[in-house]
Amino acid sequence: MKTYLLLLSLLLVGACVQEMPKQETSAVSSTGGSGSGAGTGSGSGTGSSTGGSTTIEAMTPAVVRVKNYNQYNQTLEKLTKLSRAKYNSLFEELKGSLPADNDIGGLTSFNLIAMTRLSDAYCKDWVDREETAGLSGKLYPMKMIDVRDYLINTFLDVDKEERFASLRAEVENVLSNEDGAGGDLFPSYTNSLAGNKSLVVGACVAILASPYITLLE
Amino acid sequence: MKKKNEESKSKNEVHLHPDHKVPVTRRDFLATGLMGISTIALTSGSSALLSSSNVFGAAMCGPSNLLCGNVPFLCLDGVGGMNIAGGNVIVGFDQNQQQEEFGHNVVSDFRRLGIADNYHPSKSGMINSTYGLKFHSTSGILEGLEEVLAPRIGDTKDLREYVDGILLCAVTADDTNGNPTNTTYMAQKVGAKGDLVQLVGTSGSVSGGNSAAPSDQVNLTLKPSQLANFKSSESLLSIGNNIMAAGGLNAFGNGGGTRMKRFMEIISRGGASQLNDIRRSPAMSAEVDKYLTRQSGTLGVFDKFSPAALNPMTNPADGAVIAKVYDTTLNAVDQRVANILNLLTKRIAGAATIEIGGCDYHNGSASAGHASDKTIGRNMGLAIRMAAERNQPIFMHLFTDGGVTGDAAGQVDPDFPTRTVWRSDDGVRSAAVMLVFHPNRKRTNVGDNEHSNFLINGKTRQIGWYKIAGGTAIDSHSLANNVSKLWIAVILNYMATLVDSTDDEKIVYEVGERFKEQFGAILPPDWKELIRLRSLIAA
Repeated sequence: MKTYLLLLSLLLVGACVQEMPKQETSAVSSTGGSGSGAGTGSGSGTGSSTGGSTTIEAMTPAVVRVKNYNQYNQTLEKLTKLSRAKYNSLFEELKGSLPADNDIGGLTSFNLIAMTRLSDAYCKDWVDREETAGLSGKLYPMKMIDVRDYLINTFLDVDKEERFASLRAEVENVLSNEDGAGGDLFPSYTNSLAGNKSLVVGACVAILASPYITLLE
Repeated sequence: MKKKNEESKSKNEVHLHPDHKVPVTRRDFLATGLMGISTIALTSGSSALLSSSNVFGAAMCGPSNLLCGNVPFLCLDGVGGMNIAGGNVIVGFDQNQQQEEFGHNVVSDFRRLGIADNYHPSKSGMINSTYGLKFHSTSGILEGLEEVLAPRIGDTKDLREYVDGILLCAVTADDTNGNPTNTTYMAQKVGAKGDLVQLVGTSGSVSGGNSAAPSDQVNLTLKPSQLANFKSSESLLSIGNNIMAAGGLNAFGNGGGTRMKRFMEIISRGGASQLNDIRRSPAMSAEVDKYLTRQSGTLGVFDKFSPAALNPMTNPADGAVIAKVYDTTLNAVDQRVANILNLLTKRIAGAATIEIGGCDYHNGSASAGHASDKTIGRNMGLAIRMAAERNQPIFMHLFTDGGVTGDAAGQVDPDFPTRTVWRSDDGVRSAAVMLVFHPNRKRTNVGDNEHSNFLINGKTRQIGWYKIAGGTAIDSHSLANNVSKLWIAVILNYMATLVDSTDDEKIVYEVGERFKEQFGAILPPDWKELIRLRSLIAA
């Protein structure tokens, strides 16, 4: 009986994996977990965790899709290693504004705004924790390159560097308090630990709300 | 780090302090400066925001597209099964579907509709035609409307003369949120478009209220944003408390909206390398384009709106309008409703649902029900006043889950001698109301007082009828006993208000054609008979 159940389980797992079409096997990577079906909360487990970053097995589906609310929340949890239980209240509040499914055609401006808002909550706590961990000694005075690299190495797949050149530049913008249009991003910024932590939260959000994280590939 | 520029402080800066109470009264608004600078604010940013919305018809109107209006759409969801027909809105018992044709003059039916024998509508002075749609003179809804809309000092016109409506006789199930009577999704689909958010509601449910929306019409990408108070409007544009804080983007300071946009641009630019790489695959480019379109749309939102501008507490012009409309202290419920009405009449939201509890009022009295009815009437009146302040039309759909029956023996409430006491649920005696307001169309009777210039020529204000000793005559129209399709009658009438034509035949034709395009071949055979209202956008 046990053997029968094991075989049945393997068949079901196999069927689930096949739901992700493997059309191209170029060295494309993404970050975070990928699940299937809004509301089910079930991840299909196609990613393999490698420290802070998660490398998805090389596959490119026929269409790019956006993560639904559960998938995105799970991704944030996985990347920041913060329990999503802590953000349950905000998540429930935002659920209606986050993508209901994976269809980019149904994506709205509100979805992107809500994703940014959810990532903001995770990022604040992540920076607070990392202040005495991976970011220790880097925040004040700000060691910008070190901080930038720590953020990118933590959240993105570093093997695909050419794919996130633009993100690297924008993270630098945020860490330099530049808005990209010649002004200050944070107008009340003071060169202090607190001020620098705010910038790092901003840089973290800039990554976690970017298509690197919001899209399923 | 770059040297920071000091931002200049406006002389007209509003002073809202975290250690001060939230301004909710006219005096509070004055105290915070919200009212004092209203003239300046109204003639600057906010008027620009409203400029396009002062045109009731959209730019796309043309010979090949007559159904092109955008009229704010408000659902009022009376939770628990209230009385609408008889005790509030006069209902006729005759197949001519005229409100004043009672068909008989016995009192037993009206006892069940909450009217004491001596106040039968056939008696002198019992029918009130102030709003076109006829109310019983003792109606709580009427009292609420009057409380808000009776002319005030400073009014330039009697707003009551710019209102009309229709009664829809139909059965709904008692005390359940399963009646799919919420019409906001469909209204949005045909024309109730918001500049920022499509649907808002007082509840976090899929419909935004208590009663459900038809499941086959729900579009979860438009799920209503739940708004609890003025502050909650900010959340429509919130990208996070931490990043928006004073030490971050300072989203509520001068230039906060611009900085929020800049930050979203950073996110957008940051993804460029990845998206460019993905789109190398031809199969992917269309999807990437869709994503970029949404990103671009998100950035555009910040060009037009900011969290501070969405909150009447930090938007002096809106604060002033609300203070003027309410003219009294706002309690928590008032604030929730005022916030939604503010967004709706500014066209920031397309359609809204306001839940009003306490409508399951068969407690052996008449006074509790009267109070709930009055609350509904008051909120309808406030919606009209708010629309008038913004020179906007508005379409309101009042519905409830089931109905209620009064004491069959005619026992009256000692505190309310005009009314019988409510005894039990009675979904057969259910109904819905559509009330419309146009700020520049004064109501005039056409022929007799059953017809007006708000109505299709020859049509009356009552769809279906009641039967003796039985409530809704379920054969009085095709949807009278079909709650799952009842929305069709409401949306047909809403669509009629959106047609850019004064020709009744064109209106009906256009509604029929567009309805089929939007919803498929589901029109009932008597669909033309269900359309009673005229355009609110045609000159």
